[in-house]
Amino acid sequence: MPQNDYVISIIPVLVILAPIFGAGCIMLADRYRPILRNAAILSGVLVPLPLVYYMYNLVKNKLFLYYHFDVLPPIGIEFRVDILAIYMILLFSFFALIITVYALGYYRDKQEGKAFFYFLLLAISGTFGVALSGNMITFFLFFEFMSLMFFPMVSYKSTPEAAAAGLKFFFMTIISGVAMFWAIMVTYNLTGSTSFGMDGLFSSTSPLVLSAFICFLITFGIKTAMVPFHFWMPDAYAAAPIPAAALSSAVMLKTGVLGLIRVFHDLFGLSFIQELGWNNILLVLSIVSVLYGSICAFAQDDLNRRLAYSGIAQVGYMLLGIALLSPQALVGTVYHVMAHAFMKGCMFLCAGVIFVNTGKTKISEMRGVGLQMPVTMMAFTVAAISAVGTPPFNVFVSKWHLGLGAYEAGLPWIIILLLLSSLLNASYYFPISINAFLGCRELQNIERKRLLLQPLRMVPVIILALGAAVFTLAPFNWPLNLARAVVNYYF
Amino acid sequence: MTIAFPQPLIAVIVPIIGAIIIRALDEDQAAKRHLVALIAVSIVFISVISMLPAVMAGEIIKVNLFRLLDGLGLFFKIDPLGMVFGLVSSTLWVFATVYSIGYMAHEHDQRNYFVFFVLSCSAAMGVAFSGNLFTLYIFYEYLAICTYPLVVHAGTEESVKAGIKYISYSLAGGALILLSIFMIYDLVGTLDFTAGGILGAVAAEHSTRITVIFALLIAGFGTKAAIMPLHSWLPGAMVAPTPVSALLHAVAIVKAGVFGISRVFYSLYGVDVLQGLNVTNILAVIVSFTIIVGSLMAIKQTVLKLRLAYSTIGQLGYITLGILMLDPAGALGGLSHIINHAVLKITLFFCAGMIITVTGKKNLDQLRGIGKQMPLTMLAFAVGALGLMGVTPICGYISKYYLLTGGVFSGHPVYAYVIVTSTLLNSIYYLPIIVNAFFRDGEFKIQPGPEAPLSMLVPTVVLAITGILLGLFANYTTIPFIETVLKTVF
Repeated sequence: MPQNDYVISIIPVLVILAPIFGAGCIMLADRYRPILRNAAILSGVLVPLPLVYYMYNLVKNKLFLYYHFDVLPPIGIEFRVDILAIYMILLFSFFALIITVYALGYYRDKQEGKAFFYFLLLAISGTFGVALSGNMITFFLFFEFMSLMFFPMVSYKSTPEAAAAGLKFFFMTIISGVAMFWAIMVTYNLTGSTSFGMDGLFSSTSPLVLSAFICFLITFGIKTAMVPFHFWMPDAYAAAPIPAAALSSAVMLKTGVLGLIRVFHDLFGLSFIQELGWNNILLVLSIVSVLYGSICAFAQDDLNRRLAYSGIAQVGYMLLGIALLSPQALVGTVYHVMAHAFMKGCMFLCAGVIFVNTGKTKISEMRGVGLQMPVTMMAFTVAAISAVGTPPFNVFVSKWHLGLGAYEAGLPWIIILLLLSSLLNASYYFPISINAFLGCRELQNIERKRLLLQPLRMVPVIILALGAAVFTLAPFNWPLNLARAVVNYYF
Repeated sequence: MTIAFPQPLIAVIVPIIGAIIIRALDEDQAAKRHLVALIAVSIVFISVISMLPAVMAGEIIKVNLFRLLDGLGLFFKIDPLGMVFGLVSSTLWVFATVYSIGYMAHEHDQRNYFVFFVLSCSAAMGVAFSGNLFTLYIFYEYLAICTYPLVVHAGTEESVKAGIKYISYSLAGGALILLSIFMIYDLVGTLDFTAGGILGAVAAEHSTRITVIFALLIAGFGTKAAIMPLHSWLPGAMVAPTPVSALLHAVAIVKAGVFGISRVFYSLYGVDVLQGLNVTNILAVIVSFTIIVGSLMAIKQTVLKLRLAYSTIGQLGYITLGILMLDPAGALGGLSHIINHAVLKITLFFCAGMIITVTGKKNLDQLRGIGKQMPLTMLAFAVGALGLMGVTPICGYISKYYLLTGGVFSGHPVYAYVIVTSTLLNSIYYLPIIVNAFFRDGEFKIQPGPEAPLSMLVPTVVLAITGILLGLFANYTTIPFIETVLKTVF
């Protein structure tokens, strides 16, 4: 890990505070100028963008940002913006904007979405904090905050199912919090630090160290819905409003991936884990996740549930890339973080558009919906084609690098697994699109409502669908270069 | 008798004067009564906090009152450990008094209530500042007696029954302490609390006797600290008005028990003697049992206040567990939990009291959707509950962190497993309350105006925010404070 220059800067803190400030502005707007409410909401996600761009320019010039607060003892809060952090924050802040705009369109009825935006902005702030944190306790603080703010969104509909799903998620959050707490405690007491960027803190192993490692796996396994910790996710996604599900899938899952990369490369160190072979635990679980998620996705008729199970499989790829411990595989993981966010985010937003316009959530009821809503279903199809890994779309690039990484790591049979899972993906995604366009024309009988604010819903969908394709078709694959820079920093 | 610092005396005597004035006022002079009560507890708070700089600087304040025999008399000594209990109680007493004004507004016999409420403050201060076991015993009994009328305030048959149970447990526990006072005095001729202990000199030759004394003392103080099987008075005493449950059963009385135990450990025996005696393992088993079973029983409860009471039993176990680890990190966790648990649990009780005042509901299954009508209350409740589970940055995590550290790195990882298990049990009994409050539909509607009387709502919200601030800035508050205590011990 090359040494870099640091600049002490408060900018990361401002990025995190901006959405919280936006939430405060909503409160003021509601009270004094209701007409400014939407402006307040948007300010929360727009203000971070120039700041993120500023940080990106610094990091591009090999100058990392750093800030330390002496609160939250015994370790203290640290912010540190390295290449991985800037990659994540670019992604997170972009998706925060997209999903917030979409949510404005999703909640046509102001009253219905009144409290939703508070939680949305606060959760967004939590994800920013996770991305920019410089040690594990800061990570933990924002990770918990983000999860606690996601929980009201899961239960937002106040139906019994939503309350039950929320409670399930809440329990998982607490379990993951306890596990992480333990792991941090052990790490700090054995090594005297939990800071990132040290290229491994541990020098010798003991059962305690293993317990810390396993606790980290449990924590991030819960967040990324790794088998066997996946069971909260389908319920939560089926119960949550679509913007919340999209936020969780496109952004929050990625915080778990980010956490695992931090644990593997910053806390434990590559050579340490390689020597002990602990990555094999994650390797096995990630392979199980890929297969289990794909197989379960078949059986689901609820579109959100199918997307959730497919998410389990997709995150399995990212975990696989981490577990292989080879540079190419990590490129695959980091790139897939972006690729998955675009394509899965696009699918969730499409599901939301379909729900808002027709009230349908079941795939079996969506026959012919493509004739009613051609743009939406086109976008969905583009995302689905990308998800399967068809060249030249994004996911192909990630799977290609994963395959290279598997070969590098001496496990070529994993390539067969990747192919198999692509087949599975194809067989549960394509029927949705095929039915939507070519199915019987039942839905034509249904009058298509002209709804307000359709552009607010459609523009994000179209942008995300384009994102699934544009990077690979462009002459200059910007995310891939960033992903390579991340990996060069670690290897 | 030289009194360089009159504050300890002021803290003990002013509430007594206040109580007399309140008694002299008429039942219908509510405004004056509230004013007197507030002034009295504020004076106590100010006099306690004015001693803080001196105590933090390492000075030990001594006030000799009178002497019966050599080494036996009424004697105040303010050391850092006493300051922890004194500061927590006196601060929270102010909050609870403000809260009582709102809560008791529609209750009968308010004068009687406030007399004893203010009087108990004096007793708690006496407990905090006792310089020897004899003084501690006197004030400990005084505390039990003047809280008895508060427990039976409702006057129903149920409350009388609970009151009798409460006072018999307290007095029986007191009797055990008295017995051990005789035995210690017989053995070493002094009862003074001394950093490092007074029994070290005789530990080698009289190991059986000091083991017996230890058992007596722990049983005596353990009654108040609700160590199983001596806990059953605590849930019963929940018939008391909620501010009393909050203050006395989350802060003053139960913490007096825990405080007594820490006095036994740090000021009578000393860490070295206890390490030699090897009695802590037996106690650890009992306390771990208390933590787990208390949490399990909390899950079973269907009445909010009872659930909080059983949760208190488990949480007090944390403090005792931290103390008996005999390890600096564990002790830091245990002692800081005196502060953290007090702040968070009193918030929870205050919320329960507001729910009772505003809606009259006590059972958990009646509280579906209460978050719509009382959002701030339930947010404060969520802060308290999450804090006790150990969610950062609310202050409960500090205690959990150091308890885990102490458990793992002092060579008893089983303590850490107990704490982790109990944390998960905590979440099982707290999370459904929060989820049901906000995300289930019930009969509650948004009401115009403030959701609860402001004299109740404001202290609760302030305490919830304090809980968060104490967590964030523990570096500047709790931890240096407790470390001053530990400097005298380890």
